[in-house]
Amino acid sequence: MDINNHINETFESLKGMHKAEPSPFLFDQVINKINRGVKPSAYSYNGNQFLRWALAISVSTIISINIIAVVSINYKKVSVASAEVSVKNELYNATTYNY
Amino acid sequence: MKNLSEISFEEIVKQHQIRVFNTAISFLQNKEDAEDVTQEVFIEIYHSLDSFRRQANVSTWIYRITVNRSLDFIRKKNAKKKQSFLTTLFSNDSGEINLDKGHFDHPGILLEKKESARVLFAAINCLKESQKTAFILFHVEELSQKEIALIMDLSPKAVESLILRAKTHLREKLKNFYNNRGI
Repeated sequence: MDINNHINETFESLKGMHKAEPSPFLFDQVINKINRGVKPSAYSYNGNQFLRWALAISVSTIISINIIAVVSINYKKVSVASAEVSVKNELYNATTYNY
Repeated sequence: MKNLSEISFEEIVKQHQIRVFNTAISFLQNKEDAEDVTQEVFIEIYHSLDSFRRQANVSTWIYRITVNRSLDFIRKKNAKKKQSFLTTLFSNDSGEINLDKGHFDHPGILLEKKESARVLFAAINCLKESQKTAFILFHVEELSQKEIALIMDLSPKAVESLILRAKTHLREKLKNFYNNRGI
């Protein structure tokens, strides 16, 4: 039998299935729990998903802070350097004599 | 037929217990877990009987609670499993899982189909939550795409595409499984 027949046979294993019967004491078990004050449990958050998002947000925040820091340091360096150049130019102009 | 407000809690349990239990057992693939979830579903229904009586489509509402409770049970169970931090963080839902480990015998499956069904249920376990939900509701519970769309709060088109993707993924997994077995 070829592989596709096996796969189709596997899919068809669901055909003709019967309904499974729950415990005949289900109602009594539920009522017992209700009488004992059992409340429906709170839904959990999707832990994995939450961790992934938290990790992604913290990594992108760290990267953004680094980029901002590098850009602002470079900007300061450029402005300090240009200020030094302009001071030097002024000094040069002031000490240059035209004969 | 009785008015919805006249129906007692016992009647609600009797009417819907098979539907709830069968949906839960397909998701959880364990009879005891499915019984726990079935009880949880009815406790939730008991505590929201007012909204139960306001529901236009009761079975859709019950299916929704059952699916959510089953998925939540699986999430909690997975969280309890001792895994390393990195494995948990980077584990992929579509990761390869050995179908040989399939051990679930659905009580409603015909005897001659049990072996194939065991492999299929192990493969269903590897699907993403949304694909698993759509596939189980369509192929096991035999609901229409329209009903599934209402339960999952999606459009019928989206449900159709989820079922198709689920089938494609299952086909790939089964192909790998049978290839490794030398079939």
